This record gives sequence, structure tokens and C-alpha cells, in this order.
Amino acid sequence: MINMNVQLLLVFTLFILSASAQKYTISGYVVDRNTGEKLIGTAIFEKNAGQGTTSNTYGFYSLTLPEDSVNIIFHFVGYSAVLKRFHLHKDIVLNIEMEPSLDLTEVEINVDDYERIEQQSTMSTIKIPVEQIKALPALLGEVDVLKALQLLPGVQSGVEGTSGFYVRGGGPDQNLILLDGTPVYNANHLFGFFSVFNADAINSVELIKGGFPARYGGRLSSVIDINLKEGNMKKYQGSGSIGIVASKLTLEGPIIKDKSSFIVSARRTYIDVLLQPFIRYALNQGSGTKAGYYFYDLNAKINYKFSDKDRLYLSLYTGDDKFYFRLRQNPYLYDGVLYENKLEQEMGWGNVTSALRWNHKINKKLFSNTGITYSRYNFSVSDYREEVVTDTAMTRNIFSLKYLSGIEDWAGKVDFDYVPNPKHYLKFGIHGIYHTFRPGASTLIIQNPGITDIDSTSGAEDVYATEYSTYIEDDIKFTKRLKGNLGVHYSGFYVNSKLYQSLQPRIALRYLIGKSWAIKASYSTMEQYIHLLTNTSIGLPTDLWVPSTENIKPQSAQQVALGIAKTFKKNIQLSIEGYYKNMDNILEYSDGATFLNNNEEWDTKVEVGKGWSYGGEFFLQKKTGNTTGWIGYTLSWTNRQFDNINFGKIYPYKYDRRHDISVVFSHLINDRWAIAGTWVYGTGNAITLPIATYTGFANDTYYGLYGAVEYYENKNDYRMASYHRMDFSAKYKFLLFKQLDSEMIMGVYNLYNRKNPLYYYFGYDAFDNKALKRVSLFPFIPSLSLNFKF
Amino acid sequence: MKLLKYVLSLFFIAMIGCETNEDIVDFPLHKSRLVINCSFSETKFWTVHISKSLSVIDNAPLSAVEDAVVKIFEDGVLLTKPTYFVDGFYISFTDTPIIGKKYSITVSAPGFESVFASDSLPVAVPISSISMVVTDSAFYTGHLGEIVGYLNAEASIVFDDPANQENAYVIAAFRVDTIYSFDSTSWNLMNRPLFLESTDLNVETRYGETIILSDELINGQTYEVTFTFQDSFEGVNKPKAIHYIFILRSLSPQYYLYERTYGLFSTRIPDPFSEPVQVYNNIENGFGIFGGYSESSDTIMIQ
Repeated sequence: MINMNVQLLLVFTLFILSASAQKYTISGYVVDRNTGEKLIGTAIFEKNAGQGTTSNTYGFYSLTLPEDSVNIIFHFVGYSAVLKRFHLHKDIVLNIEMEPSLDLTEVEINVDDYERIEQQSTMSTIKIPVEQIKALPALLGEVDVLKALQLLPGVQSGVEGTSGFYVRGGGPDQNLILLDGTPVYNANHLFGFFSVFNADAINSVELIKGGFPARYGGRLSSVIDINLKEGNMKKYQGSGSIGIVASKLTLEGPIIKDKSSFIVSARRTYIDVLLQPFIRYALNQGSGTKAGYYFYDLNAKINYKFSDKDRLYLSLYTGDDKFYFRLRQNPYLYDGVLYENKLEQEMGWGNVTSALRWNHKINKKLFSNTGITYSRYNFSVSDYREEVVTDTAMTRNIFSLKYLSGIEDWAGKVDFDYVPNPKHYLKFGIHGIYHTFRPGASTLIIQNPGITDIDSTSGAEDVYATEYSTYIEDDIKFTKRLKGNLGVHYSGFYVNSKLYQSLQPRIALRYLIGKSWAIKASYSTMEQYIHLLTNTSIGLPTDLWVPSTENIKPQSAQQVALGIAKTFKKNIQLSIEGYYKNMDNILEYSDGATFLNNNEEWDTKVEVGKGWSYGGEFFLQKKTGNTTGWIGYTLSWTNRQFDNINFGKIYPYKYDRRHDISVVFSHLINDRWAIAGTWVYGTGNAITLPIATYTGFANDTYYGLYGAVEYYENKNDYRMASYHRMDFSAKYKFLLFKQLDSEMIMGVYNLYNRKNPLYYYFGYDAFDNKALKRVSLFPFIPSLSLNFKF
Repeated sequence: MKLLKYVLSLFFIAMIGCETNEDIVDFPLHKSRLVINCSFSETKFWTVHISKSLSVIDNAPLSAVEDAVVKIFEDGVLLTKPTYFVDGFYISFTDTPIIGKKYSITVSAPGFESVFASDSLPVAVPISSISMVVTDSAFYTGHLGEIVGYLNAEASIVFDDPANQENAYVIAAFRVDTIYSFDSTSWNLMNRPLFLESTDLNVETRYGETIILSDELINGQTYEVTFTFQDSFEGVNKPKAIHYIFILRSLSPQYYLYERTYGLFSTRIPDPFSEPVQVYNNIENGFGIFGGYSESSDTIMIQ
């Protein structure tokens, strides 16, 4: 009994000592030594206490530990690990500069490394290093972030070659694409064949498919969080590339060394310039004719570091696509009267996003980010005709028609990171967005001396809406084995005197089994107040963002996921997850509806229904070393049900893809040569085809017409041929003009020339027999691009 | 400069490569089935059209079946066997359907699987009242001395939807006139149909000249449907009086689904981006419609 009491006394004493032990906080920023660029998601781990954290979106970290000798390791993929040993006896600021590890050799990671997948409480989250994205083979040599994401399990691509993607059975509008925290509404150039993101200007890319942390909201299926680079704080540098389709140039450098920097990155296609003579020839027009297509995008960012506590960022993205046709006829005389004609037709679309953010380190444990953001997407078609008639006097006849649709957001937000101790990492904040929806309006101007001038606007009126949200989440370490990310997201949407509100709990748990296995589970509910009207699978600029209305309620989803995670030797990470997601109030175009019919209000040609998706995902990834890459496999089922589609019966979603496989690798052969390859396989898309025709009967009170009816057994019950393709690229490094670090990238898209289906239609064969025809777009396509740095 | 030439050469190689490629795909051949088209009402003799379906990749034209055996049953008892008349029509000149009875049909023909369908007549819904206002009209003399004119009107029909009966309505209107229509064999005198439009939220849509609405939201209510139309005139003299006939047709649920989807199919915009339309089919082992309706009508004259 005495022995027992002594033991209890000892335990109590230890507890008191432990509780009373003084704790201090180590905080600071982690940046790249050469450029000063922040390193987002750096793993920071103190070995003695077994505690760790990660740097946030701004490179900031905070770790509170008891007074003792500390042994902290900082690790970031592609960088040499940094180890710091010292005695912690007061709060300290420890800013870390990390050196890029040029050869990318494996860093032997401590088993307790905080970055390891099994250590993280979040699940269904994948980060791909930008350098790895750049190493992948690309269509026509254009590196594309969104197409790289399509190679991940749980993410399905849409039409071949386009950057549209569908996450865990969700629609294309259910992906929240954030560029420096600002939503991008149309991430496509050239109908989706290229995305708007210029990889040269990107710092980090993260995809979240489920188990959403409470800080995110507004979309049902995924978050793609893209952060732009900030610009080199140390020295001026530039990089560029010349490709088949477009060229890019990036400049960055310090405005004030170690205090302020800038980065400007621009890209433009030159098809229109190169092909102008051919276009004129094809159109059989003279030199007064210009026609073509181009897109450009520009990323710019400046930041200013007032002190270790305050930093200001201003970032801008702008990009446009434009098709144009301009005709200026030579003046001609007819019956003594001089005529001059001008015609200008254009179709254009583009995004502008801008963010002004202020980072403030309130104290060693509390960090804030306050921002104002602006985002706009516009689509316009214009037709301008002018005729100048000179007789005794000059008269000018003008006809101008312009159609405009789009969406515009002004938003403000305040986010806080609070790290009270290593067991808690709190994030909380408040966001507000003021939306202006332009569902489509036409302006007609006619000026003709013979008639009364017309200047009128018709079409749908602008709709204004306010969306707001607040959240709190805590990354909690309950025990050494059990960790969780618990949070709640509350949001509201006010439109046309109608208020929608939603409280969304978010839970993600991780339980360690042994040293390197973890079981993970998550539950999340999501609410989405805006909808995208689209009945094409490609990113057409005519896709229309519309708000929830009194008749069209917000979309909502619930998702549960369960999985295991493990890191093997050589930092090979494995994750296997199963998920189930249901979605309510999702939209589909009604039977027979088409976006080309602008005579009807948008909400009269849509149906509201439900969707389900469930399946499993396997992901084996290697991020470091000379050989990197991943293998992804998804087995999934995705269905839809609408009362007025398919007679209310459940049918497969068009991107219901039973099997989806991707194999991605890149290998550094030596200092000069590197190779990369991808192979993808996917079950064919589900489409609706008629199987028979028969005589129909309209017992019309007048005509009693008979016409052929096409019989569709069920919606989406025909499978296109499976999709598979292999791409390959080789990169050769050399000195251009004996001084520029350069890379020549030779790539092949669709190496074995697979004729993958783009779409099917009924036509005729060579003998005039009716037949089903498959159209494929991209055969074997070589590409060549040149990258250089200075 | 050499580099530019090289890049340009590759560009054109790539563009040539991007040309679309078309292949013929094996498509399962659909086995031909019997097609029944029969809408029945107490005002008509039993008239059934029988034809056969074709695979969507069959080159042959759609054709009628002339050697079918058609049987109509009333409450499960054989009522009549319509006989072949012409152009795929089978007619029984002795019987008409009765409200309240359940009718079924079986059709068999050599080389085809027998088909079956059943439906009932909904209760006739009389037009309680009807009103019409001419909102605009004009007449003038054309180039050849003919009288040309138009008339815009707003009309409404009131009816009592029967409670506890699931049905739907088609509303049609005609000007009592004589126009000539050609139906491939002869010239016929017919009334002139009017194209109706309505902003009533219960009116789902209009197909052709009629409007259609379900009783889902108005079941058991007295309901007034308002619609507009434009009528046009061309003749030797300005008409002294104009008669309009308004028809209210009550459809069985099955026939309503067919009318709605077939109308949608017939009026869809055939662009590559339009969603496909599935036409309702209530024929077991076959295709088509076997649906009942009842109708009432009223006439208005304006001077």
C-alpha cells in the first residue's frame, strides 16, 4: 500500500512539474534561401518532445514547447533538410532559409517526420510539387496544372485534351479554384484545351477532394488552392519558354532587397500572327481582312515586408481569349456615290482576379491575413458594321450588337491562425462576397439618318447576391495516436430577398497503428449557392454562372471517407481511401434543352435532382529522388436522379467511370537528361444514343402528324470506347548562347496513336449505309519547347 | 532564325496531326418490334396504327404492318378486333370506348413478338366558362387588292379539375374557316389552328399549336388558364363574323407523358449540344402509345 502511495505521489509530482514547466514559443517564416520565396507546408518537427507543425500559406509557423534542449528539423520536398539545436528558454523568432536540393536525392526522413502522410489529420488531400508538374509531358508542350490534377485518383478528365475535371462524381461547377485565395470562374483558354494557369508563376498547388477543412466552403466537390510565387527577394532573374502554341516570359526580383519583390509572368499564343496570311488566303480576302484567335494571360505580384510582423501583397491575374474577324473594304464608287464599309466581329472571354492582402503577426502564436479580392469573368460577342456613304454630304450608318454575360465578385476576408500549443492549431475567420451575376444581356445600337436612332438593351437583368461565411477549425492532437481536424463552417446567401443559410460540420480523424500506418476517416457537409449552366463537356465560354433563386435551391453535399495511409522507405507514400458522397439540388439541362436557345429564361430549361458517388482510390506516390511519380487507381460509381429526366429512373452520370488508372513517372538520368512519361486508362464515358426508330403519333387536334421517333432505352446507357494514352517527354539541359541555362523539351502526346473517342454520331459509311461513327481528335502529336533562364 | 523555322515546321506537323479522325463503330442491331399508335376517346371508333420499328442504323424507311391481329379488351373481356383498313390503320367501326372502363390491346404479327398495352379514359372535363378579348387588330388592302389583316387576342378557359383523378390537359383553338390542306391524296377543308401561348406557371410548355398542363398542382380546383394567340387573315373581303372553337382535352397520365415527351422531341432544336429527349412508351415488348382522352369544346363568335 505504501509502495502504491509512493508511486501515486511520484506521478502527481511529475504531473505538477510537467504542468508547471515553462513553455516557450518558436515562431518564424520558412523561405527559399536563393529567392526568399515562402515555402508553404514545410514540415517542422521537434524530435525530443515529439511535437511538430507545418508552415501555413504564408510560410509562417509557430511551435510552443517546454523549456529544454530542442532539436528541430525543417523539411520540404526538394530542399535540403535544416536541423536546429539549441536550448529553449525564451520565446524566439527563428526564420529559416532552406537550400534547394539540386539532385533531388532522397532525404532519409525520421519516422516521426511531421510531413508524412500518416501523420496528417487531413485526408483526400494531395499536393503536387510544381516542379513535378513541369516535368510531365504536356499536350503541344504547354505545361498545364489542371491537366496534371486530372492524373490523380478521384479526379476524372472530361473531353480529351481539355482541362475540365470532375472530382468524386461532382460536376464541373463544384470545384473551387482559388488563385491566391481568389476564385477563378472559368479556368479555360481555347475551349479548355489549355488552362489559365501559367506554371512558371505558381508556387504551390493543393487539391482537396474530401474531408474539407472548415476554412473552405462554397463548392461541393473539391478545392484547388493555387498560390502564386512572390518574386525573388535576393536578385533579379528571368525565365521564358518558346513553344509551338505560346511563349512565356517571367521576370522577378527585389524592389528593395530582402524587403520587397515583384514577379511578372506573361504568356501569349501566336497562332493568329503566324497564320494571318493563310487565314486571308482561306477566307479569300485581301489585306483589309484580319481574322484569328489568341489568348494571353498575365500574372503580376508585388509584396512589401514592413517588418517581421507585417507584410503586404498585391496580386493580379488577367487573361483573355479572343476570336476576331475584321473586314475593311476598299472604298468604291457606285453611281457617283462613294461607299466605305467596315465590319468587326469578335467573341471574347476572360478573367480578372486581384487580391490585396495584409499578413500580420499579432503575436508569437496568432497570425492574421486580411484581404480584399476582386474576381470577374466576362463573355462577350459583338458585331459592329459601319457604312460611310459620301454623296453631296457624308452619312454614317452604324449597326452594333453586343451580348455580354458574366459574373463579378468583390470579397473581403479576415483569417486567423492561432497556435496555442503543439496540441492545437486553430484557424478561424470570416468571409464576405458581393456577387453580380450577368445572365446575358444584349445592347443594340442603330444609327441611320433615315430612321430614328435605336439604343436599347434587352435580356436578363443583373442579379445581385451577398454570400458570407464564418468558420473555426482546430487541428487537435488528442493523444500520440489520435489526431483530428474538427471544425464548423457557417454560410449564408442573400438573393432577391431570399436568405439561404447552412451550418456545415467538418470532421477528419487520424489514428496511428504502429509507427507508420494510419487509419483516417472524415465527414463533411458542403453547400453551394451558385450553379453553372452547361450542357457541353468542354469549357465553353458560354457556360453561365447563375445564383440560387427562389425556385432553384442551393446545392448541398455530404461526404464520408475512410482510408489508410503509410509512408514506406524512400519516402514512398501510400493512401487507400473509400468514399461515399451524396448531392442534392444539383442542376441538369432538361430533355431537349440547349444553351444555344437564348429565348428561354435559364431556370425554365433546367431540372433539379440528386446525385451519388462512391468508390475507392489507391494512390502510391514518390515525391523525392531521381525517380518520382505516382500510380493512381480509382474504382467508382456515379449516378444521378431527376424526376423529369429518364422518367425519374436513376441513371449513370456521363463521367461515371468504373476504372481510372494513371501511371506517372519522371526520371533524372544525369545532369543533362531527364525523361518523363504518363499512361492513363479510363472506362469510356456514358452517353445517350438511340437504338431504334419508329413511327410517332401526335394526336394533334388538327394535323395528326406522324414522324420518326428515336428510341433511347435509358439515359447514358451506352459506353464510349475506353480511353487510354501514353505520353512521353525528354528534357535536355544546355547553355544557350553559352550563358543561358536552358532546356529543350521534346514531347510526344499519344505515343502509340490510340484513337480515343471524342464523340459519336450517326452518319453514313462509304456505301451509304447508316453507321455509328466515332470521332477522335488527337493522334500522335510531337511537340518541342525551349525553356531558358537568365 | 533556324530555330524559328524548326518551331514553325513542328507547328504545322502538329496542326496536321490535330485533324479529326472518324471510324465506324460496331453498333448492336436492334431487332424490329411492333409499334402501336392509338389514342382513343368516346367520340371516336377504335382506330389503331400498327407499324414496325427499325434499328437506328437501318437504311430502310419506316413502314406499316398490314398482317397484324389486333384485339381490344374492355375490362379484360374481348371487345373488338379492328381490321386492316389502309396505310397501317386498323379500325373497328362498331365500338367506341366508354369512360370508367379499362381497355387493353394485344397485337401480334408474323415475325414479331406480341405486344400489349392498357389504359383508361379519364373523366371528361367540361369548359365552365370561356372569355376572349381582342387586344389588337388591323385590316388593310394588299398589293393585289386582297384584304389582309391580323387579330391579337387574349382568352381564358375555366374548368373544374376533378378531385382524386390524375390527369392532364391539352388546350387547342381553331378559327372556323375553310383552308385547304394537302394530305398527299386529296385537298381537304379544315379549320385553321391557332398557335397558343401562355405565361401561366402551370402550363409546362407548348408544343405545336397547343398548350399542355398537368393537374399535379391544381388537382380538385376550379382553374382558369389564360393564353394569347394571333390570328391572320387574307381574303377577298374582310370577315364579318369570326368563330373560334376552343377544345379542352383531358388526358390519361400515360397519354399525357407521351404527348409531353413526343411534343418535346418534335420541337427540339437539333443542335449538337441539345440534350436527347426520351419519348414515353407504354407498349410492352414494343413501342408507341395506347392512351385515352376525353374532350369538351366551346365556341365564341366575334364581329
